[in-house]
Amino acid sequence: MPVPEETLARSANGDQSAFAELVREHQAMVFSLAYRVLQNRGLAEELAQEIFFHLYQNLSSIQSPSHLVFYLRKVTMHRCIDQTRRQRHRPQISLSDAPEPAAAVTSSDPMLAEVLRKLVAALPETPRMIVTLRYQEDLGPAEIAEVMGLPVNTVKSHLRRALAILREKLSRHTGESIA
Amino acid sequence: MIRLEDELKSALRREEPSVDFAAQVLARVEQSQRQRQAVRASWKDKIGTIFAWPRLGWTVATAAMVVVLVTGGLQYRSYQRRHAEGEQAKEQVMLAFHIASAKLNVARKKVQENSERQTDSNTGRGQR
Repeated sequence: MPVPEETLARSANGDQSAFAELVREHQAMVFSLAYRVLQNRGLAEELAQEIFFHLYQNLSSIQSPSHLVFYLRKVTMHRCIDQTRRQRHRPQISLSDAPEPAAAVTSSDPMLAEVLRKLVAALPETPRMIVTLRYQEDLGPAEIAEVMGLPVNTVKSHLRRALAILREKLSRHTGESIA
Repeated sequence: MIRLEDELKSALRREEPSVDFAAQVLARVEQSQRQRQAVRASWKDKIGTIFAWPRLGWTVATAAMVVVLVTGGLQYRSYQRRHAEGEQAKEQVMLAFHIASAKLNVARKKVQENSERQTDSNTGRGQR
């Protein structure tokens, strides 16, 4: 839920308690996006802090609560791209080479979520970001395209291909059919 | 049957960062504000201390006044010199006009005398 307009206005006027409220409201979104992309909790927290600090310096340019959410998602994705380019120590694995879980899982298995997170984490950078924005943030392809600065059709094809691979890998391990 | 998209939504739920995350962000903001204030204050101090020394203040003011007076004096002298040169040039031009005018008068007088003499001789021949 976006923060009220009034909280945003008070933050822009230098009210630190309003800004703290704004941080608390969006910290899970920013941190989780960074964490899914960077796969490193410490690095994700550091980056998320930088993003909020950058936001504090640019509060006057934020026009509305929905603009704030868009701004945070966009800045997070772009900072993550910069970070991974700088890092590059994380080995890039192609979709088909993504590691498969060690143990077989079923749909009711509490491990299923963990397996899925690992499969998503093994995706290459762009499809990983798209899948995260689609299923963590519940954004449609057009919104993802806007945040990432990509054509909608590119987003759709990345998403289709990533889902096909995830489906195939998961089905191989659960032995169940995947819808 | 596993519904992949539902499972993905569940697996990729948002996660909270550490409990003191917001406090750390605010600490960073406050630290940057303190640094900015310190930089601003140090500049103010530097400028203030220059004028805080009474002797140095008077010295700077006197030096500024001397510079203004010397520059003004030099400018005035330069103006006076240019003015005198202009007057001199004007006088030379006037003198040249006078000389030229006197020469022209002499020439005009000679031409006039010649033409009168010629007229007289022509009239004498006609009467004869």
